[in-house]
Amino acid sequence: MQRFLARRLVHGVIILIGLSILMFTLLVLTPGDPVELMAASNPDIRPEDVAMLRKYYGLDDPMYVRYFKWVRSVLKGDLGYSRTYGTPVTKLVVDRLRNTLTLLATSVAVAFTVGVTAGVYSALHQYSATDYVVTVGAFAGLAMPVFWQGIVFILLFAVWLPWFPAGGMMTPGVAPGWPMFLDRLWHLVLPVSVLATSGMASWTRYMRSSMLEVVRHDYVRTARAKGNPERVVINRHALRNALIPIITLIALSVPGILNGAVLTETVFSWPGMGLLLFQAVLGHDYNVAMAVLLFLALMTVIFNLLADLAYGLADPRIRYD
Amino acid sequence: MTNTKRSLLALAIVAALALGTQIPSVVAQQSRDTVVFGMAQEPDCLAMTFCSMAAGMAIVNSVFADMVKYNDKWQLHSQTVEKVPTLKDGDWQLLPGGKMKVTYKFKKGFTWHDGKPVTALDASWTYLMLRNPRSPAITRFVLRKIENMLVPNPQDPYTLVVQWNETYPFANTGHTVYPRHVMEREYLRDPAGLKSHKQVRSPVGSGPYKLLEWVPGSHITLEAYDKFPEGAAKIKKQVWRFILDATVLQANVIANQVDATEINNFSIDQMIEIERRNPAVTAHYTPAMIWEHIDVNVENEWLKDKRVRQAIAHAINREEFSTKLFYGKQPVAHTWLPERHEGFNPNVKKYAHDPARARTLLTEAGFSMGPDGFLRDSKGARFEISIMTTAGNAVREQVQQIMKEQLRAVGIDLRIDNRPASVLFGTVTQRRTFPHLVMYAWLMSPTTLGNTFWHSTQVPTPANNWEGQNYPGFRHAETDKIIDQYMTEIDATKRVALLRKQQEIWAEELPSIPLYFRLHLTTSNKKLTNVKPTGLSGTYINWNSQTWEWKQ
Repeated sequence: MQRFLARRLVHGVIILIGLSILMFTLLVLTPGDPVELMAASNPDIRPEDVAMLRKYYGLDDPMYVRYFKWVRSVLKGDLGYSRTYGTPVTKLVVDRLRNTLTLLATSVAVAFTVGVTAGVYSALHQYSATDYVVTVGAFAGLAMPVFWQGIVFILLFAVWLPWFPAGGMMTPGVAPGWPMFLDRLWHLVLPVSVLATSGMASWTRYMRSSMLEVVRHDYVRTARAKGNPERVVINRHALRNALIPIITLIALSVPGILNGAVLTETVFSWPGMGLLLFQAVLGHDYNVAMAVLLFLALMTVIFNLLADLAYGLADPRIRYD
Repeated sequence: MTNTKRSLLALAIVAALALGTQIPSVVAQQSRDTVVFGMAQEPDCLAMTFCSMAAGMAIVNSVFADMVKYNDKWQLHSQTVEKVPTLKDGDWQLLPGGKMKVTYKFKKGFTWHDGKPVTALDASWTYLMLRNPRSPAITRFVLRKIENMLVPNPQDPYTLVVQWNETYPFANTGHTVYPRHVMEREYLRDPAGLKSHKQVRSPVGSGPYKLLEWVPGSHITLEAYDKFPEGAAKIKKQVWRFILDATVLQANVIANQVDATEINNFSIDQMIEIERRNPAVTAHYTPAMIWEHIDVNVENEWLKDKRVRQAIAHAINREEFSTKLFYGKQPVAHTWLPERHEGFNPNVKKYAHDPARARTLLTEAGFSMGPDGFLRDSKGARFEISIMTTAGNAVREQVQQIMKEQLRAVGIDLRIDNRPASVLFGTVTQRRTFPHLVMYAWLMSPTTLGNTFWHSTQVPTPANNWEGQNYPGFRHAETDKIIDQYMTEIDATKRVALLRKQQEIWAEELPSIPLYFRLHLTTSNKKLTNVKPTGLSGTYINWNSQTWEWKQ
């Protein structure tokens, strides 16, 4: 187990280094830079101003020099300074991370609860009308692009039926305490519904298949034969075993949901990491973009590792070598 | 599920729905002492000499008072100074050697939001700070024309004398002023460090509203400054929400979740939809100085012949763009200056949609029709040209598609070859890598004289380190002479005459195909009074927001 963990951690570090080089190169190779954007929007900027600004922002160094400067700074725990926001990137990312985690945790919780419940119900009532409705709903959920679904939800639930806000995370000026809590919940409904949809849909399908497989096993039949009530048979014997693959699936899905948050946050103006990344890439704010991308890569590595570990913990037949 | 459980669940759902529907009404009530603006941008900073986003400038309109500013009639009026200097009154003097002296008297009573007075000493210090090459000013275009800004009498900190080392027709339009007492210590320690000074994102301003909070990615809240000498703002708070997607911002306007919009990226279609869906909103279509056009690479073998450029202009039906794409709201452009600019010339040569005339001009230029319905030049080469624009801009892409069909009708094969905005403006235009045509817009102001667009010294080349914005590569000796004259002509009548002459030559030579003048599109709630958008970049919908009120 320890050797496995150590080996995976070393692999993780190598992957992160490789990804950081790749991401830095791609960002720098993206045509245009912050100074060009400034010059394009201001006819009064002269070439000497441009040269001065390039020097000021360190854009006149070769790419590898800029990368090593960035690495040295990151190793010291300093993610640099945001050109756009005029604040240290660490502070910016921590503030945004809180908002993203709120969105992410709520979405995963909603998707898990609804997905597992619907999947189990669907499996236990196979080929019933409800099963067909759940199956069609799950395929629709998988097929809908996040961006399109966000716009549709805004039109439905913010414009035609003005029940929820069409974006943002808070009503400015709302009183702290209970009103603020309710206000945040009110703002969470639409983005969470959108972000949770694809996870909900795929977990429903997986849960249904897993449950259908488990309920046919001998130990479930034995549990029934012992005279256990159906509730005990399902909850204690079938569901616990059916959940094993779902646990790993959730761990593997989190990075995907996090990536989905980039689009959801952009559509709903939710001030999280996703929106930050979108703005940073558009504004050529390299330090911020690198920090967010590296965070996403780190989350992918961590959750993949957690999935492997969780699988072993949930299923004693798995051995780490 | 038992009946009791069912009843409790139903009660909980009803309570949640009731609570949910209460929240919007609470928000609506709160908004009566607040105006919520929606913008499709988040500012990069609020010190506009260090950054460039229009979103920042819009908020700065509420936070800072200006020495001199434009109103909705595009007239200059004084704000923190007693009057706009004029030659007639003698506070703007022409001196020997082409130099000038302009004197401003600051009003007593304007204070920074920390209570310190706004004086000429702030203005003169700001000039020195921005002139320092180590300060992160993004441009020193006007500053370089100034020799010094002085407060000649230490006993009178309200008089500012600006000494110009060359004549400049717009020397009375005021200058940037920052609070010296807030920034000087950091400046003396490290001028380059000013980019991260708290003044940049949390400014001490002098305008009708002061900054209360900036929640990155979400909104900025401003609060009325009760000591504003023109009278405290009638609406207590302004909230500027950042909603980056134009469709989502449109939904917010329709759902009454924002009261006004600025820098909203709306198309005319979206504005019409807003008017149709929400009668409580006024859609403002304000004439602006945004010139949509196509630059022609006049160094190209075919396009260097002005008859070919004129033929393209005749082949394109610009009236149709205006009527069909913009519901007649955006007027066709016949020259590069918009109608509301002082130098606009309505009598330039115009190119009506006339395919027959286009074909004649192309025949005169040596082209003949090939067997495939496309023209051939005298060497037999097929007349195939490309047009570039900003990828993803739906309106421009529509225009390109219509143009393609219209040029095909006269035998020109137009190929569409678009690029992202950052590439188009970063490389394609500045390095002049477009082979034939490039479509984009210039945002102009009343002080725009087009010297950087049309003077031959302003053609970007490696030799001049890509300086200038004469992207077509237009070189015309008489135009250069006229520009040199009007750039230093203080007399408005003479300057206008020269500008008109320049446009006559320009319309004949046609280094660019003028398309149409875009409108400045904004919205506001009908219950907000005194909303007067200007259509000027730099002067946004909130320029007079201290006078706004909610109608009961």
